[in-house]
Amino acid sequence: MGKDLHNNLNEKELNAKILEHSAGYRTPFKVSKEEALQQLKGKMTQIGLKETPKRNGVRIITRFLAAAALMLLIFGLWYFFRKPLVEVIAEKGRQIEYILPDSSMVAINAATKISFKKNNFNEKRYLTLEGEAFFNVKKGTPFVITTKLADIKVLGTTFNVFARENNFKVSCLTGKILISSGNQSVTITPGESVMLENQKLLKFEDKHFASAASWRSGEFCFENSPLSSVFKEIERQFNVTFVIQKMNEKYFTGSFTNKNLVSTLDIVCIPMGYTYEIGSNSQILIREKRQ
Amino acid sequence: MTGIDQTQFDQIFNNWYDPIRNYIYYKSGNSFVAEDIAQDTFLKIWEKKHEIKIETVKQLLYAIANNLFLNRLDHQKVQFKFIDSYQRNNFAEAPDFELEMKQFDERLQNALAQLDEKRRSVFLMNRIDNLTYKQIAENLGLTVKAVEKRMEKALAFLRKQIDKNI
Repeated sequence: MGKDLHNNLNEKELNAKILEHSAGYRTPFKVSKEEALQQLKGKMTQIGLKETPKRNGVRIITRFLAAAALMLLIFGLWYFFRKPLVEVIAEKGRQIEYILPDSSMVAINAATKISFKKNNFNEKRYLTLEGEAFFNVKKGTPFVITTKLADIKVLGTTFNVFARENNFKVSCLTGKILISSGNQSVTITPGESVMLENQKLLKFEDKHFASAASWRSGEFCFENSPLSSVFKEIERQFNVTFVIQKMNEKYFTGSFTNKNLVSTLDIVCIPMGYTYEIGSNSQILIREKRQ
Repeated sequence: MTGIDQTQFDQIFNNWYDPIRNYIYYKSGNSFVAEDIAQDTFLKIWEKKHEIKIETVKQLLYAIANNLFLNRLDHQKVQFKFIDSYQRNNFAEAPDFELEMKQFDERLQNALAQLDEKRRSVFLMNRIDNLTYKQIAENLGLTVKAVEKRMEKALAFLRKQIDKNI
């Protein structure tokens, strides 16, 4: 690691550096000024109502109708001015490829949702992700992905994001990616991945980075992965539910495809010493084999 | 002249929404809280539109925003997530330099989070919103001397914190 450049700075130089760097800061925000004004106008209309009560003999029914008409008008205005939020959802057992308004491509794995605001997506490329997706981002303004545990920022790259429950992993295939969580941030380049463990972002050389998105061709590779996470992936890919009688945590290395359920179950269960039984309602009963 | 109309209100919102939101962000380090309070501040102005003088509206905005902030019960630990110009503009070519910048940035943001709230808001209003000492003094109802003092103290504290962390 290089020597800190400001080790040798005197007081004056450090002051100048603080002043200069802080002047480059911008505050983060969730809604734009225009959106804030729209929201505010909604609240202001309600205040306007309270201020002009008409009490001189207007019949209740007329007042009721007026109120109803006004509510309809407010709703109409809100509907008209709201920024439509687009949600793309891949159900269990399905994968979707979707072209975003900026012509970036996102491939969405089973049981995954992305959402973004359509109107100004070309200026503000922000989207949220729950699940797993592969991105091929066109060069342009910063492209920011928000997940439950961390944010990802890129300019133009291809990479895979896995963000389910308490697991978070990003693998970089091309370009450069900035990942931030809380006040930590990490940059990764091709061949590197980052995971979140105990709320710490860990960067590592990923031998398998090239197959990070092999799920797109229906192939799922695992190396020393908890068996529970393998079962969860099978549940998502085949839209089935496992009923597992007593499972000691084991680790699985191998791969399966999402073409054939029976052979997938064989690949996973046989080496692990389990038997399976496919029941009704897509339920699969897993038992430990008696020795 | 007392009282403001819709057009004047829109004008006020347009000029002051960002500075007010930022002001509360400097205090809270929370963009949700900042946006919420900024909206409520303008709502209060609208409620009092018949009594307001346009000349003094900015002091009123800051005072209302500050009060709303103080009255909120959900104060949390301040943690900043400033977007710095370095990240915004480009990903650096030289990795050493990038690392150094990132470390410095981290230290500065942490130091800012620990800075006294009043000094911090003055400091950041000057740095980020580009307000002069005179403007800050007017907005917050302080003397220029007091603003200078807060700036000085803020800078000294930040320097000490950053030095300590090396």
